[in-house]
Amino acid sequence: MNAERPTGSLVNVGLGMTLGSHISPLSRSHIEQADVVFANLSDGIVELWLQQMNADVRSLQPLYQEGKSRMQTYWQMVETIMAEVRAGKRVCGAFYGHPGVFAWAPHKTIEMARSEGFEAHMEPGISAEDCLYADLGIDPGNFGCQHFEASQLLFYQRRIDPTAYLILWQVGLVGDQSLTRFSTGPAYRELLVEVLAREYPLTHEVIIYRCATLPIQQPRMERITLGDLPKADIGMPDTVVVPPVRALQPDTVMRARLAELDLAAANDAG
Amino acid sequence: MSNIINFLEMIGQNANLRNASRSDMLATMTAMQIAPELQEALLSKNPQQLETALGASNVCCMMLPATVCCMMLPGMNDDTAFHQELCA
Repeated sequence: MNAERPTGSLVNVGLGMTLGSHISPLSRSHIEQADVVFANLSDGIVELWLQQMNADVRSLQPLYQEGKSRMQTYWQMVETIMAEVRAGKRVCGAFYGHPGVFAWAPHKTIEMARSEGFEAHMEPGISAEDCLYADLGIDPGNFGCQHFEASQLLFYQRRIDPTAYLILWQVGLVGDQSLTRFSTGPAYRELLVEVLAREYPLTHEVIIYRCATLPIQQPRMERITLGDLPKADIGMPDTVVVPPVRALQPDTVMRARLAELDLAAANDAG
Repeated sequence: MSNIINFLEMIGQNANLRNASRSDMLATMTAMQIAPELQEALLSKNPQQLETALGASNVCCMMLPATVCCMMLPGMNDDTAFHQELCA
């Protein structure tokens, strides 16, 4: 005999980055058909837009408080969402950008809902990364592209490949070990520059990028030198792009071995 | 309020409006009966002015400047720290 599946369900969707421009038809349908929608969005106007899609939109933003551990906030988000799933509701989590990129709570709620027997899945959205490629004209296929949450370069010994693009997220918050702040400052970015200076000259051009969240805005694309990064005006939504500083180095040994394989394949075919 | 949100959504979805001239924007806003103070905020492309006019400013993080938005992240570092906390 099959145990009955509980009636509650969860889908976490992405609204994309720009109001009106990026939301997928399927994500919109999930929002419209949900019993309750929990929102964690980029700004208040986007939240007003979301409120037009469903009569019961509840903001998760009040859970954030400066001085309170973000991990505590994330767990409160999870519990808030799961309470309605467990109550048998059809629940939708609406997040800006892509709900699964740099986002702990959407993944955790889906994991938890599934472990309790509820239907749960994620619908992708257009992320800040997607907008960055379009606005800055970067093709990650050309030289490769590394993405790091900026603090990881300070907390851990990471290996940077200076022949590829380096994209640093949350530079405005770099080095925050307390998990309670919403920004750090120039002294913290000095340490980040110190790490980056192992691979890049201080004169190397970097780009501060922020995508538009409203369709009346233009993206921020400000070019500065790496050495000027500490004193730059950088907030939470800003991303720093470090272009490659060195040319790709041919791997002559591996190319020779590939040529041998090609030759062997040609001989076999002949 | 809904007409301004509808207008923003329309800009976001309409290729012509996305990069429309000032006069075209003005004509469209007038047709949609957007309030003059909101028209000014839209034409000056000033999100803060728009948020204030709509009473929607600073939903992010509540107490922070409007330009600073809360994020749900950094998941990975926080998660690690959290698990370290658990193991301690």
